[in-house]
Amino acid sequence: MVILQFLVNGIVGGTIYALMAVGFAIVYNTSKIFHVAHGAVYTLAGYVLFLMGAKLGLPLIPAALLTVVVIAVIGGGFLELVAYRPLRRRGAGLATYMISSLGLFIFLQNLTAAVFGTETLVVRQGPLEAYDLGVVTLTSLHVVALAVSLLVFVGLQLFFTRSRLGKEMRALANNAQLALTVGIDVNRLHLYILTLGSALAALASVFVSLDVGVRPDTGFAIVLVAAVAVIVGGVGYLPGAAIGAFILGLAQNLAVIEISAAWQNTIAFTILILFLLFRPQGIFGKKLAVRGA
Amino acid sequence: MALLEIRDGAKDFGGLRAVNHVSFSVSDRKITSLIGPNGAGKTTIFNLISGLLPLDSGEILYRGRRLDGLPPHRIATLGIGRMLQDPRVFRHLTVLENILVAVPGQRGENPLHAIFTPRGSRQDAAALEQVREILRFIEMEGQAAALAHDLSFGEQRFLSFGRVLATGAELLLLDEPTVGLDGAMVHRLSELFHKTVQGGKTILLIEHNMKVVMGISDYLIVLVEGQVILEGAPEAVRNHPELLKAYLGTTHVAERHGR
Amino acid sequence: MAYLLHLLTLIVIYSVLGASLNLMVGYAGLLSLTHAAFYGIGAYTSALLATKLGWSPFIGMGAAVIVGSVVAALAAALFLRFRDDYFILATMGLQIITHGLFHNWVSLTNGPFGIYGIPRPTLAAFPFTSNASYFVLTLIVAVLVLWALHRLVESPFGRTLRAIRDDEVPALILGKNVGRYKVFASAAAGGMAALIGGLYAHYIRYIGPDSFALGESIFIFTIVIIGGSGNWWGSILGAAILILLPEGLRFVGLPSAVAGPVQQMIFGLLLMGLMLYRPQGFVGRYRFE
Repeated sequence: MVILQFLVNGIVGGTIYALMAVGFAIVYNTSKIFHVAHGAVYTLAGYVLFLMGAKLGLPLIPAALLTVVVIAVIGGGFLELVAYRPLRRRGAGLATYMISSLGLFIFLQNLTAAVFGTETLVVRQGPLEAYDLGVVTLTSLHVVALAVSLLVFVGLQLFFTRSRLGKEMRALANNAQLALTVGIDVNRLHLYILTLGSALAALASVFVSLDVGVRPDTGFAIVLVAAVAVIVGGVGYLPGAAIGAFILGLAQNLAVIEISAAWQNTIAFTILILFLLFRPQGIFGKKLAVRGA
Repeated sequence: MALLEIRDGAKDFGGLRAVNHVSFSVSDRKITSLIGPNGAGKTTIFNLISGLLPLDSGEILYRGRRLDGLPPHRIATLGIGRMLQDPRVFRHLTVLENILVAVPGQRGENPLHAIFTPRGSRQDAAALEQVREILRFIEMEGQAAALAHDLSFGEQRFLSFGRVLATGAELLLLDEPTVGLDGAMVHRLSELFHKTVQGGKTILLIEHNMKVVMGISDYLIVLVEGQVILEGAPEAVRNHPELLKAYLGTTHVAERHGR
Repeated sequence: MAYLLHLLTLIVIYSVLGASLNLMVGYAGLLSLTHAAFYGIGAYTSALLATKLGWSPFIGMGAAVIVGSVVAALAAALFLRFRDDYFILATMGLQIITHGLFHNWVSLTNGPFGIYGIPRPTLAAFPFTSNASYFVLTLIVAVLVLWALHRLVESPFGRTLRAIRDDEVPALILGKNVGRYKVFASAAAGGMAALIGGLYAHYIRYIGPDSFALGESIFIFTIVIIGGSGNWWGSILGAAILILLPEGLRFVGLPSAVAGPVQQMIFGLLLMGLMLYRPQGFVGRYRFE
């Protein structure tokens, strides 16, 4: 019953992808920025965790928490203040943001490669506590990752429906012009948005790093999956992004049995292009207004 | 006699009926003005005529030929030109290039011709002369080499008019061309419209500036909430109670915001 | 000396790659991250025709142009309706799909092992076996291609293309068949990239799929951005800078393990910095809005 084990791995993998995708979607829905640098945030978080453990000698949980906080605040701050706000001030177009984000991603990813090398660095020593449930085995990391992610998703749901900040973010996603006129401090809001998005990327990275270590090059693949998930799941609908990512993660793990890993990217992007062509609003999204002059 | 005819045109946006079974015609060599409060559907009608939006039902005929269903560039080549609400000039092209680009039938637009036939043909010279004539007409000869980006808003407006003239279109759809212009420019632009029609063209105008409308229109069509409620000669329409009802409250707003 | 010749050959090759992408990005306003795919399609087409069917490389390169332009035209037609950022995303997708095909369609492309023993061409019994002679060949082809490009962009076609780039809707209602212009610009750009791909394959005599991956597309895109969009000869400057930069780094004495990432870091910073402060590149005529 190997397939059940793959299924469990897929569920965990899918949940991690969902964290990344929701983080990406929060930024994308509110600003339409194709935030490729999200992948670099993910990569950086892994290395920060590594440093917390290896250099500062912090125990696991404080290191993980600190990593998420540090990346969220510093990452979010840097992204907004250095990368995106100057562009917004200039009235830059969406393509400009994307290219700038791509440049930032390339810079950060290679910075980690230059400083830490391209080999995988181990973050956590020793075997994980495993729970043998007969047909499948769950590691403690699996359990914690699933539990924490679930709490995070519930928390996000509450945040977006009950809190003022969350509602402001939704307003911004729905109608940026209107949000401005209603008096929402858009610049500050974008800062919080990038902080939140980065926190989610950091969290995803922490779980993966604790599992398989850190490397400089996984960021891009993951952010692309997040992007595909957002478009397939539905732009403007956060749960859609989560579901899309989850399905992709699941499929990726299950597909390893049938299709070689080499074809995965090709298939993922063919699906993306098909959606862009025939159903750009994604599975759960709503159709956008007609074009006029 | 009727250059353009809309028969029972309708257009919905979601639940909103923007154009509600509208019928009217535009006479050859006249200035017809389409007026009405904001949101009445005037620009939507222009979009329908230009082919930027599809009609839900009804027909649009130009010289007796159906326009609806044709792609926008095809409608343009049939002889319908349009000035958009925003000047939308080609920012990185010069004033001269902006107008030159609009001149139809240039062989060099075919990529193979572009690569292999030598430049400086008679056709190129004729096109250039045409452009210079238009520049003289809109009084922008001195700015021929200026980048469109660097022009003032008013100058961009004049440029976008010159641009549409260069297409050789016979029916000109002008969408609120005087918005944002100072009095002198409004006067100058209206004069140009007048001269253009005297030269044999036809204009369908959307305008909020009542002075302009009353001053140059040969015929008025009043659109309210997607329906034609009134039409006729300016003197007949001007004091009609229906018109006052439609505009009550909006005229003040229009004047205050210079629209 | 031989190494200098090699660098110069690369600069010429990347100048054409940059200039052809500039046709799309700087003149047509189509932000494409799939250019390396056409480069690769050209390389593989010519290489395969030569190694598997024994065709003359010149004919192979001609075939490369046809395949490259057709694929580029089809892609452009397919992606016509996409808004800016979706367009970039779709081209990224196409690039990744194409690379996937190069890498995995082993029966056709020999997969990750690549194609060896690609022959040098012979013209009227003159074999271009020396690198010096091949450099001259490359230069001649490049000059011809850039001449055609120059004629194209300075013509009414080029003017209309620039107008479309600046604002599509007015161009449409002025009677321009916008779609056709975009498709043709893409076909021309793809064909040029494919031709240079063929030239490259017969120069280096071995090609592998990883030379034509997303990173390469980003590299060519960076050449365009640096040199300046809307000015095709700026891409020559861009190519020179980007090819010589790693050499400069090596001069400074960086260990090779770090040199690669540092080079990329500089590219990344350049992209970011240019977008922020000088979107038109060093000598470009067109600013991204």
